[in-house]
Amino acid sequence: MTSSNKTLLVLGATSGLAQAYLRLVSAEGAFGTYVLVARNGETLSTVRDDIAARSGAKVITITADLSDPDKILPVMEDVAKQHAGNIDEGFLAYGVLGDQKDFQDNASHLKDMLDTNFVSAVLWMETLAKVFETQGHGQLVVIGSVAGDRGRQSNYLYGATKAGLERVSEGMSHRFAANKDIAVTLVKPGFMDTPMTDHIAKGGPLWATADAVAQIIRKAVVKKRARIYAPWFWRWILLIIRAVPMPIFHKTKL
Amino acid sequence: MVKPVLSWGRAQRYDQTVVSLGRFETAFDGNRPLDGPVTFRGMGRSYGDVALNENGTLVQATGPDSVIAFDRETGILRARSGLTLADLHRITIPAGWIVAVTPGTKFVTLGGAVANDVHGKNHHTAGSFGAHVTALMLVRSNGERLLCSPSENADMFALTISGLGLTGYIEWVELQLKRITSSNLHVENRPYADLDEFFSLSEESADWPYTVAWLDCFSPEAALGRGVFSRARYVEHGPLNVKPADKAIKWPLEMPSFLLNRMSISAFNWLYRHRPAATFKGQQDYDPFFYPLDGILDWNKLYGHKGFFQHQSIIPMENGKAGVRELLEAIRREGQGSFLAVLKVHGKELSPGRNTFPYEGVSLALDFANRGRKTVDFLHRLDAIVLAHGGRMYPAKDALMTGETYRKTYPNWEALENARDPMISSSFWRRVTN
Repeated sequence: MTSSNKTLLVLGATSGLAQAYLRLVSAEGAFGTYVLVARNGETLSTVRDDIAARSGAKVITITADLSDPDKILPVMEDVAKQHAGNIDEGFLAYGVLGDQKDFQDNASHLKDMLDTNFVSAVLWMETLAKVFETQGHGQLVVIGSVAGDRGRQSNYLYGATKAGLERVSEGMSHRFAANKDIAVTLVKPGFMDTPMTDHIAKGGPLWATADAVAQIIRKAVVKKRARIYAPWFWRWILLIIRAVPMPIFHKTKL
Repeated sequence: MVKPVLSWGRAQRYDQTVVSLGRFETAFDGNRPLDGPVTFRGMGRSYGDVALNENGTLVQATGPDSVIAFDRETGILRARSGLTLADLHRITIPAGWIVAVTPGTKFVTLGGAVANDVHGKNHHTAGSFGAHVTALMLVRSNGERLLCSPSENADMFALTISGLGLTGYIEWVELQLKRITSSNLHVENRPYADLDEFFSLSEESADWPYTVAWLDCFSPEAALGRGVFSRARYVEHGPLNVKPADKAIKWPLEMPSFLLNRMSISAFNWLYRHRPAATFKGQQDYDPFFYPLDGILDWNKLYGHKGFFQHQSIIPMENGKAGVRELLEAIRREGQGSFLAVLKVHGKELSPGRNTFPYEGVSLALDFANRGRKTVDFLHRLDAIVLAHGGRMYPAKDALMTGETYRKTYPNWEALENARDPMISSSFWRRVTN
């Protein structure tokens, strides 16, 4: 149960990480209103029931294809109409991983992925930045990836979209540096056990659960960190990967 | 992916094809072609093979764990079957509700709790888990979805509760929770001298909602059955605290099995009986009271590479004292002792489950390191003693009883076989029905 009057907007609320985050903040009673947006209405209503039961708070759902730039304004109008309050936190969690080989062979799949992971995400980020500016406060959480830290043959196209989001969020942090009430946090998870990675054999010390990553994100949000690796050790792994000189790097199959 | 899967006792290790249900999936929905027969598995806390499927398909069903509805006024909660009691309590305890019946671990799913119709320290006042289930959704492999409750599909409801997961995929479970005004209990522990004193303490404590005893299986003949009796009730005013998720430590390795012997167990028993908490009277948080072993994740590795067997039996009240005495004498003679010997007087069964383990009587739970043939033969001798006193063993803990023993002591097994989904089976079921 909660007495909070804060609102959390989650874009891509049915993703494994978004749900873990939603469950965490529900248990904390951190928000009084949740606005959940996702494409699959049936799954979204399951998440709505779950979060409503866990939080005892008001949960609003909007079914929309987030990757469609033309849907951003109608969705925002819908949020305003149904909710009509401030958005205290925005959590941008949608994205597709896809398959590098498929993107190399199929331009239309590649374009869809670029549109979803980068183009629409940036449009959403800018839309929310404007909302935060108008209301004078707000926090934005954007899910990037360690894959954005260096172009590697196995997934540089996906990685490029996440690298792009990192630049945008970095710039936005700079833009709002003077305003203590607006913050942007870019999260770079490593291997995470969610439905997105169900086709990969899991296990070993590098795999983190969505619950563990959600806890790291929550701490980063409270501290208004601009950028965070989740878990922390990826920072050092990626530091090494970025530092490997190109002639040596090109001998690897990473 | 074919991989070896272990029972909680780690004495059974079978190769099986493991597939997992995603968070929003239901089994048998047409999108998921499954090679039968399959077994559904929750948290894998069953000691034996009820959730194993040697050379078959094991469906890991912990993914779907969302809450469907929770009414904070009435305490009725409906959730997907993969939700664990640990997670459920994080939602309900702050609102003043707790499961009416809990087994000795919180790492069980609702589906597993229903399928095994688990019981706890309050069996004599609250019956088994199934007594508090108000409805459930059963999905059959032919696509049929059966809403089961005491009034709707009541036969299937009674066969699914304690049905060992054989009647279909349990998609969701609806429960009536128990109102609490504090998460603390008033606990009284006291050492007792022998079996007679255990039974008189149990009788005297009948109006305490929670009672249980730990006993020392290497006590001298004259003090057979001595141990520590524990009784508790919720306090009326206090905090509503939930144990945070990340406070448990993990047992890191399989312990060399030679460390478990008569001497180390006797030393442990002495320490247990003489530790200050053995005479504790006062308030205790619900979590250490109900789940003392959950503080150490993977504690089952304590028994080394070969694992261990659990043996839990219940003997009708009229033969209770004689039966327990004979079991304890057999253990003394054998010299194979158990750290975690638990004795409890049960009341009338209130659950509608037709194959529910407990009834009015006394139950004894024991565990024994697996020393191969010797242990197996010994456990069969214990089974024979239980049988001779009209008792029976608990499938959720069993790995060894014969089919004949099972079929004789669970006369409703045929009704379960008839209601079994043709696509579902388990190593346990094939073992006891062949």
